[in-house]
Amino acid sequence: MTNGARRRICAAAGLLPFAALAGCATSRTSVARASVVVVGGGYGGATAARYAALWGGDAVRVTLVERDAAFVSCPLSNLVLGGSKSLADITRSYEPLARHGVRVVHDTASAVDVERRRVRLARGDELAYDRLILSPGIDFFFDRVKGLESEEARALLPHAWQAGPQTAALRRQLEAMRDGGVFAISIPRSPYRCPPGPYERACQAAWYFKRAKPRSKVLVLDGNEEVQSKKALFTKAWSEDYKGIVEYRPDCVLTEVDAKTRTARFEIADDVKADVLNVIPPHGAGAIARSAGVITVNDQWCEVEFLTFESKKAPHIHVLGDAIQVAPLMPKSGHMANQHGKVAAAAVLAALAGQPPNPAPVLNNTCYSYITDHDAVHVASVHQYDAKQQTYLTVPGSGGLSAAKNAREGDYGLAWAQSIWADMLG
Amino acid sequence: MRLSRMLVLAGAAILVIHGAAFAAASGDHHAREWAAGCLGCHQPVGDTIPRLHGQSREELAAKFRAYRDGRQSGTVMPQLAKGYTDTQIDAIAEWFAAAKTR
Repeated sequence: MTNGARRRICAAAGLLPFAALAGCATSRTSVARASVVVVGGGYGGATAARYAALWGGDAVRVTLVERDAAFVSCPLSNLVLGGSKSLADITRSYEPLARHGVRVVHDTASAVDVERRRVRLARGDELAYDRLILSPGIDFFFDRVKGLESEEARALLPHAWQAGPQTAALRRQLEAMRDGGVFAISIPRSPYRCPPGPYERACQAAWYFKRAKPRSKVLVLDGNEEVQSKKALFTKAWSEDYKGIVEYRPDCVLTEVDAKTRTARFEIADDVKADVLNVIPPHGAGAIARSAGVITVNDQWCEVEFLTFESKKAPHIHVLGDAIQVAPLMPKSGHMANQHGKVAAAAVLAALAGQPPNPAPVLNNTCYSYITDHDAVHVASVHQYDAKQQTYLTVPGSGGLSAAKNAREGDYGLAWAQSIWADMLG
Repeated sequence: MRLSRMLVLAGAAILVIHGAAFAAASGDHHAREWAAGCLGCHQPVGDTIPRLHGQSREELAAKFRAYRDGRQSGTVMPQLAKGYTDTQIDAIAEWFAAAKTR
């Protein structure tokens, strides 16, 4: 019997401490504590890691695998594009997590060996797990848009749909654009990461142009038939605050781009030639989910048991955040991923203890979008677990939107960011 | 023979301790899980978003219900409060009343 097989049996029987005596050794030093490995240190994964360590105490050893050296927030990153915030404003260190009992490994998870319950890292190490939490975010289907296949083309068309260098690259293009130029944003079909994000981006670009290059235009090229979130609020902003600057076009399903001429071609709509072309490519669950075999819907998203966020496909693997096949009316948002992370952490600990999960989890969502540099609008919702339908359902009468943009909620949005970053990173 | 029996006993003893550690860590903790849902916004940092830690159970539950029942105006909270059950409201209020700062 291999160590892996023996360990699997020991772990399955809940005999990890005994496993140490019986020789069920792992590649790491101790097996006295159950191993929880979290892949992805975004809103979902960092939260899951922190809460697994907080609630699990000495019973678990929590390892977070994160590719990047620092956390850069997607929420608020449109303000960096607009120029009212800097990348430094939305960047946080992973270091505090260590003080909260999370071992952070900066590496890329390259494969999951489901049979042996190991995560392989790009630099060669392996991490053994009793429970694996995948919060892989998104990866793009560059091959689904003709002309985006080459790295050269992609370098000319930053998506900025993962915050960081991409955000900086797109900001530079906006700064370099001539007054009187056209900035075009291509939105993929729903469901995509951050439903209101592209429309907020249009507002932030327009806010910048209004001051710095007032003859310029923002063209919103939506792959959907209508605005996907906060529709009335964004439409009002475009017809009032940004009248003559923002133009919205529905049903623009992107098929092809010419990166050199910054031309976008669509299934039906007319071609668009822009001065700055921002293509948000179609995307799905991050690549590590593919390796783990947990992508089950349209080759794109991962179905989970909503009570525990355990994959419907692979036992002992939990998936959360933007990567999952969402419940009805559940947005792919950072706030929602943070909520997933807590339910998943609790469910993982319960499973390791041989106990049932909380039978009545509840998730909430609060999402602020900035219309100007300081005026924001929100959308909020509450999602209670429905045991009969085994999914989350929004509570009738709950949730809603701002009546209008306002500065108070602009303050709340910034405070929300400080709070949730403290919640997930310590 | 003797050694293996000792090993089994030792293993069993550790198993008991191990199980106890888990039971303590993840027993009936629904309240803290529900309360954790509030902590994304309501961390004990800053003063823009109200702090919940350390407020009395009665006060918190009353505020929560005032938002829910439309007696208290606000931005997000009147909309969120309508989604919570009485059991959840009471459990969350009790958790924050007992919580200092994490």
